[in-house]
Formats: sequence, structure tokens, C-alpha cells
Amino acid sequence: MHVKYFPDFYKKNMKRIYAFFYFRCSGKKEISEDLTSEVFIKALNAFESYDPAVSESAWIYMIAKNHFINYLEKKKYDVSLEDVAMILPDETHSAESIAQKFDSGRLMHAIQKLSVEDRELVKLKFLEGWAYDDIAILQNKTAGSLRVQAHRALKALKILLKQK
Amino acid sequence: MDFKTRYQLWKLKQMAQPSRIFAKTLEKELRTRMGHGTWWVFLKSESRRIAIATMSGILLIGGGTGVYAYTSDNVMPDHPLYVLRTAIENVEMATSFKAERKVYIQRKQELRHQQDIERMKNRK
Repeated sequence: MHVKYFPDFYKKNMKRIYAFFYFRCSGKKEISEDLTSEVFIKALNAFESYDPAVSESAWIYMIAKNHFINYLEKKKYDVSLEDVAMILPDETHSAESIAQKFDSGRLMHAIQKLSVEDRELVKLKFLEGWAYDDIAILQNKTAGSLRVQAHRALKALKILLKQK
Repeated sequence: MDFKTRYQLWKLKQMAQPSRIFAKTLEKELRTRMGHGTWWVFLKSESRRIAIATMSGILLIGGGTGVYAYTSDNVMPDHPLYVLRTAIENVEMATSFKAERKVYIQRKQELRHQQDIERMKNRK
């Protein structure tokens, strides 16, 4: 795609990618900023070869995910691709770090207690701000089924939050 | 619809917002790499583009009307655009700083006003 469309692409996806790293880096802003910058520079360099037939969100999400895997490998965390796909590495540590930092600790702990699929959906939809259509492409599901799943996940979250 | 849970999630999401300074710095870096100047940032807003297009249109129409009002012999004291012509003449006088230039412009305008009176008389 022509690079003249990159500004709109950047504007649309910047906050999501930042949130993607934020919730995976224990809420550390500096690391999140560095990783976000690196991802968008990579995206800019590869933008000319980007095929518009592929979803924009899916494309940038894959770049971010792969970049995060490389980052963790450099830090020598023991993680596999499957782990990152469905279960974010060091999630318990991330939840505890954010929980200690902010008053939303209970919420983060409750999210951690959800099933893997529900947790991922809640993070993508409600914390990172992806649209159902984008998530449907990422997870190979339909937007309708994701809406139903999100509704159930929120119900489960509500019950978990009520528990002491 | 569980508003309370959604609201708590929304609050948590707000914590993950990038700072303005970071967003602007990254934007500038990407702009530099793209080889774009400040116009990319200024014009990326659609409302700004519409405002600039509208102002340009108004300036073009206003400018064309002003040129017509000043140069046309048809614009006489009873013409709607005469006010515009008078305003342009006043600006012309005000922006001439040399005494010789002021005298020249004053004579030119007086001559033109006399010609206007003649034309109006002949028209009747």
C-alpha cells in the first residue's frame, strides 16, 4: 500500500498497540513506548509491501506480537509461540505489578481468573480497544460469536469481582 | 448490560493511554522517516482540510470580486460593489507611503470619480 496512507493507519492503531505492550510489560511506560516505536518503524518500512486484502489490524497485531516475542527472547524469557498466542507470558507477574500500582488490582486479578479465551477477548476488546471485526480475523471466529462470548465473559468477571 | 464492570474496564483502559509527548514525538519521527514536512500533521485532520478548502474558496471568490469591483467601469456609486471599490481605494491610499505616490493615487481616484459622474449623467 502507498505510504501516503500510513498516517491514517498510524492514527487508527497507535493506541491499541501501545495498550498491547502496556498490559504485557507490567504497566511499564518506558518499555511500552520503546516497543511501540519499534513496531511502527517496522510497519512503516514494510508498508509498501503490505497487501490491503489483509486486515490492517491483523497485520499490525502480528508485527507487534512477533516483535514482543523477539523482545522476550532477547531478555531470555522461556516462552513458546503457542504461549504467546493464547496465554501471554508472565501474565501473573504483569497482573501483580499493575495491581500493586493501581486501584484496579482487583479487576486485573479477576481478569486473570477468567478462561484463557475469555481473558484474551476481554484484553483485546475492552483494554486494547480492538473492534469485534478485527478480533474475529485475529481469532478466526465470527463477530457475532465474539459478542456473545464477550457478554458471558463480562458476566463471569462481574461474579469474580463480587467474590472476596 | 453490566455497566459497572464495563466502566471499571474502561478506567483500566484509560491507564494504558500513551502520553501526548510520546505520541507527538513518535509522529514526528515517523514523519521524518517518510520525508514529510509539517503539512502532513496539519492536514491530517479532515475538519482542517474542509476549513482550508472553504477559506480558500472564500478568498478566491472575494479576491475575484474585489478585482472586478476595482477595475470595472460599471461599478459606479449606485452599484452594490461600489462599497468594496471604495474600501480598496482607501487601502491603496493607506498603503502608499511616499508623498509622490499618494498625490498620484489621489489624482487617479479623483479622475475616476469624475468619469463616474459623467457616465451616470450620460446614462440618464
